[in-house]
Amino acid sequence: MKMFSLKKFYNLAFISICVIAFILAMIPLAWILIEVIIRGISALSIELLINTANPPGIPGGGIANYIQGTIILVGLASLIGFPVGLLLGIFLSEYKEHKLAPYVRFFVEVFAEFPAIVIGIFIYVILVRGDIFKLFGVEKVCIGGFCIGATGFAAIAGAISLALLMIPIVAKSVEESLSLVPISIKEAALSLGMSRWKSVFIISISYARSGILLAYILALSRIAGEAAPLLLTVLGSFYWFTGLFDRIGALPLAIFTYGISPFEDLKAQAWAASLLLILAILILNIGLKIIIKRKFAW
Amino acid sequence: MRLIDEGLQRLNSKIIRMANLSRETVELAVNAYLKNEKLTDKIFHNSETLRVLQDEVSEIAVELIARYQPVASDLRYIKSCMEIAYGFSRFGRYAYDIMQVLEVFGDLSVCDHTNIIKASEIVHKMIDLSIEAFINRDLEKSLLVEKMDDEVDNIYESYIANLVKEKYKDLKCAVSATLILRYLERIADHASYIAEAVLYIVKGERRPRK
Amino acid sequence: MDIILSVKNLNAWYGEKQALFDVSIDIPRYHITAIIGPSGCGKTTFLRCLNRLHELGQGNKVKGEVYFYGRNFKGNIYDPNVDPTEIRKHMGMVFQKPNPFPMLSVYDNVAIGLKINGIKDKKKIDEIVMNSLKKAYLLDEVKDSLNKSGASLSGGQQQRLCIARAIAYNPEILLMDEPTSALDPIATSKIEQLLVELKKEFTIIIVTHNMQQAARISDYTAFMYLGKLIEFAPTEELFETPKHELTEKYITGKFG
Repeated sequence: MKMFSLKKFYNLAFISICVIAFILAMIPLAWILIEVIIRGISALSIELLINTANPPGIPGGGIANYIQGTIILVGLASLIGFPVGLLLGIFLSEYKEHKLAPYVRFFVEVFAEFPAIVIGIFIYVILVRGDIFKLFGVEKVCIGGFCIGATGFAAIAGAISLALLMIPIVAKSVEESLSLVPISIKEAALSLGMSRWKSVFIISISYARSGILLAYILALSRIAGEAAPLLLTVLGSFYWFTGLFDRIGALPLAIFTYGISPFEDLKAQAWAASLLLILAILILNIGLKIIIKRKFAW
Repeated sequence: MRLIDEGLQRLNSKIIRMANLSRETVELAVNAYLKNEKLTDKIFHNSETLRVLQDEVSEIAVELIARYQPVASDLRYIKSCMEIAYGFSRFGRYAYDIMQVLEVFGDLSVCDHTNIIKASEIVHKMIDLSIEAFINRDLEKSLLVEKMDDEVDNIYESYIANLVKEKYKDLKCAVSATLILRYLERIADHASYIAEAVLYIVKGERRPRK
Repeated sequence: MDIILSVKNLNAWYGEKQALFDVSIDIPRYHITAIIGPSGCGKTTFLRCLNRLHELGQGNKVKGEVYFYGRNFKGNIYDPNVDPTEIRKHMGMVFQKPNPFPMLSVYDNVAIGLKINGIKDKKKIDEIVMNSLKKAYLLDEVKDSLNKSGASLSGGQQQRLCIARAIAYNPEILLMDEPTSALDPIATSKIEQLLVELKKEFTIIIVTHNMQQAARISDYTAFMYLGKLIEFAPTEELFETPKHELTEKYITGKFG
């Protein structure tokens, strides 16, 4: 009788500890969410979403250009980051026996852990200041009519730094998705007379397509909120997008700059921007996941 | 022990029972004939028993085939059992036929039974040998049996040839002896089929048909 | 006997472990040859050497010659100048567990073999797909669900789909690795009937651990044990009067 109630007590105690731990962990998260939602909603208005930023000190103005900036940067970054990450992921998963495989894997693993700010500094030095060109003793490199040199703070540099962040995330997820393709499927493809690369690109990719798309979404939501590399590569801007080699604004930058500014209306705008960012990430992760599961899963 | 082994045991005991009964029946019939005794009822009873046993062998064989899909030596054994069982039941039938001759022709004690005695001795030996060969899968004994079949054939054929050439003394004796020798020749044939089956069971070969 | 495949001294390894020892056999064209033997005897390894699938495994090795007398290929498939991918186009393979591509429709499962081989004409593809499904005794059952996923069919139907997929681009040899061992008896019997029908157009080599299946459908049977070929004979002969004592012991169930 005593043993029985002792066991019950331990059971209850353990469960209680778990619940308490969960609540403790959830409190800050819930607090942040609540704060962002409350302060963000009160600052949100149509003007905010339509107007571009005003120079500091002048009331009115909105965050429209930052929204545009984030979309452009993230879009550009994924143009580079997704294909490269995909190919790396395919290589890691399907060509394990290749000589270079261990080096590539090491590379990807290290890069995945790189602090974002370090990538920012890297791009700052190489592209923004142009040290890579100085290294080769040229001011710019021209191919056909297209020339590239030290960019200064530029959208392209920001996009590249975000892409570098994106690549290892995509690569690792793609590798994981592909590793779930059963050997029986691969063998079926090979026995039909498909060459190795065809069986990878036509069959394996197709089988793992929902996993690969989800990998992409994961990476997108990660880089959408990165401020550190952008600080060092695009610096920020109050204006609409003017060119790849010009500065550009972005939501995380706005949150940072406005958040530490002394102006109350700008601080409010920072909350609104935060809310937008969180909403965007939530929509991406939950909404698109549902869509992908419906359309691409089999 | 495989599952089929129990069934094969049953089949084997039935065959051995048939072997013993049919050998006994042939001996009884021939001796009774030579002594002019009418053992018709007993012989008939035995012959019917052998028919029933043959059906039972057939049933067991079919059951084993349906249930166990036997192959190789098992299959050959089962097939041979079906054929041999027919042979044993024929022994019983011919034994009965021999008794029938006595019934129909009545007293035959005046006849010269020398040929019949000679043939029947060989036939008894053949039956014994073929059953031994089957039980022990003895290829040498089975070869012996097939040679002895020729001897019985000769006795029969030369008796007929003589009968045609010379005049017979007594119609009753001539006809009855012909019939008995005919039955003995058929019994000998079946005994040699039984001996042949041994080769088929052991090696899967058949003697080329003459 | 018209020989389509002549195997000479085939040896195969999984790393250090040897699985096939000097296997030599001549496979007759347009007949069903069954390969039987206890687990681990090398029959699946042998089959996978015929379409050069075995060598794809890490550390796997093959030595020996396999002469293929095909319509468009005549020679040793293990010749160093031969592209294994080409060889596999002459041989279709069906596996133990049905493996249709679940991310493709029933129609596309059959069509993909054609598309990757350069057939682009839609009408032609359609014709061949329908024909293959018909030959595989599957068309009637799927004609209203051609766009459904390949994995939405029952086990027996999936396997017939795999057969349709394998025969679509007209290989000369069908390699079947225990194709019915994962199926119920009715599905099994449908496929067995199908195979007997298919041998009019294809040479079929079927690995099976079910001796009765080999006895039912094959014209020739090969018995393998511990990586060696023990006996190869017409099926009625092997099952009525096997020449080798090991064969006799295995098929009568005295070991196995």
